Amino acid sequence: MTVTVDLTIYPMELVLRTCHTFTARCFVSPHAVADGLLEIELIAREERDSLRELAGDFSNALLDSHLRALIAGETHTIRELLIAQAFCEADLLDHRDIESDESADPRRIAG
Amino acid sequence: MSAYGLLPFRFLRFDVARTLLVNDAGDYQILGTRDFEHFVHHQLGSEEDAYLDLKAGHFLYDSESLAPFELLATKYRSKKAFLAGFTSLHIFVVSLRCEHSCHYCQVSRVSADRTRYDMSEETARRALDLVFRSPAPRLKIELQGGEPLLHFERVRQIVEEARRRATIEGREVEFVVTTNLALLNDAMLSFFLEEGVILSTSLDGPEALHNANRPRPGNDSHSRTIAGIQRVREVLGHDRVAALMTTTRTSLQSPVEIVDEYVRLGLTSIFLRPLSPYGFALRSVRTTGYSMHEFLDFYTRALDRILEHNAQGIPLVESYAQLLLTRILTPFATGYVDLQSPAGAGIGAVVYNYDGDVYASDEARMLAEMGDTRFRLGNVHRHSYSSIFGGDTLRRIVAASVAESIPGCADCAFLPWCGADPVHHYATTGDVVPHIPTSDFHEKNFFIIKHLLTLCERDAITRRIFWSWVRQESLREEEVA
Repeated sequence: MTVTVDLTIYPMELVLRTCHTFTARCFVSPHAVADGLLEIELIAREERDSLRELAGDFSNALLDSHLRALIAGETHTIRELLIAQAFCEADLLDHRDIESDESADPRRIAG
Repeated sequence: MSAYGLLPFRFLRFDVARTLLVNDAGDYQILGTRDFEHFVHHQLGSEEDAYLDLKAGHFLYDSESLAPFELLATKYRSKKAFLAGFTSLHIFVVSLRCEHSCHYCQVSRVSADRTRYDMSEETARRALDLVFRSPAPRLKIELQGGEPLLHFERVRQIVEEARRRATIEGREVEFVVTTNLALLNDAMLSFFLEEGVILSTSLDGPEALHNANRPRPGNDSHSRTIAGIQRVREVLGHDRVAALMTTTRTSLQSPVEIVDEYVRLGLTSIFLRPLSPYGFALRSVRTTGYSMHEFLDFYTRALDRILEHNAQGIPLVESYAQLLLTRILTPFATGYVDLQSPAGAGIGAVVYNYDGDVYASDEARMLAEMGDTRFRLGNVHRHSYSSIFGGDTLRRIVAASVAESIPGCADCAFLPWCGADPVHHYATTGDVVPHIPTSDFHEKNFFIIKHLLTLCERDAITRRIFWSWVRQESLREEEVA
């Protein structure tokens, strides 16, 4: 069973994220078939799984992933602010960096 | 139509007609499909019930919302409060010796006559030095084994020294001894009474099942445990001993009998635990093992029985459900290391092994007993507090356990209630980052959380029972009715 996805509607990252959630139910293989089109091959792990249902569930999950991305985009700034405010009293500095002397190279930048 | 903004949340299609929404602080709402679609597309009218519920639950804000971000940030901070105190639970493995030979034992015990597996006085003292370097305002010291009562001298030393240091520093310290109770005697009980020690024991169910799971010389583990529970109640008080059970393949057939045994003995809590993939449990998996699906079927049937007892006014809490419900129904953190993000391994709890090695969790220690020491943080004789608790090993464990960055967890609606256990993930898959779609850890938590929510939605009596578990209050018979 294959599902064709239009990448002008769904970004690649989002499609692959959805593919990942289906890896327990099936073997998932994405192939680029044309400019802006991705074909997702779904092979059920269990023979009793209906391929039609699998493809339908995948399409619905893709829509939900898209909606999640929209909500995350709309609320991203607020989420960052909330977490920053919640931890405003915490010391978030990595003291290995700020307490070392001039010649130290804790992140091995000098190689 | 009204002007409102969305606050951050995650969602899950709860069933064909309803969607579950959970915000970052763990507040939740369940909406019908129509309301959900209208809500996310900014088409919900401000006079609609769903609008008011979502506003009150911190899912949307409008021009009339009072400090919506501050309130949500405060709730979020409460949910993550476990981070503030750093390591509060300190587990001492005072001996690996045990006179039981349980097939599933997680501690890879050795036989009772090999005293080289006992913690020395100096090791205990150095471990206590580390305990009291912890900034946690309240400390909990758990003494376990093997069987800690086989090395009672060390138990006594640790409790007395910790009590003395806590008094000098003006800190609170609580003691728990995890024991099978078989070797408990009057002198030990007097000491526990004097020091206010709580006991935790194992009870796997009715006599035949318990003795089959927990063999010891004389095949009398069950009767010794029961006698021990009764003696503890007589001397220390009814609520000073709690029990938990481990589920073996044999246990799967008897959820009702196991629950009824706890009720028969007047115990008020039961912790339904699956086998852990460590120690002897892994080596004997063919005889004692089962799938997570089988465990969850067992769990569901046992929980049904527990709810039946509660509905008749008999108090009995399932401890794992209680932990999850506290996270679901309140803004508070629970401190249970596997149900938080980042996980509490090392930063919430730490284990001092008999030989002075320090591990991020008991599971990490069991892994080391199997030859893999990657989660060893250091040794009390050779390493400082800052190198053990600020070193790269612990930093790597913490980084791997931030569920917000784990593929599959990051989008999950249950994330604010769940967590990660990198040591478990590593032990079961070889990778500290789990593959969520096939993870047994995910399967267990996802199923149980959804099941608890379904039960909450099902009827008012169950909701009242669950709230009584969260508040840790018994329901009176008339309240159940």
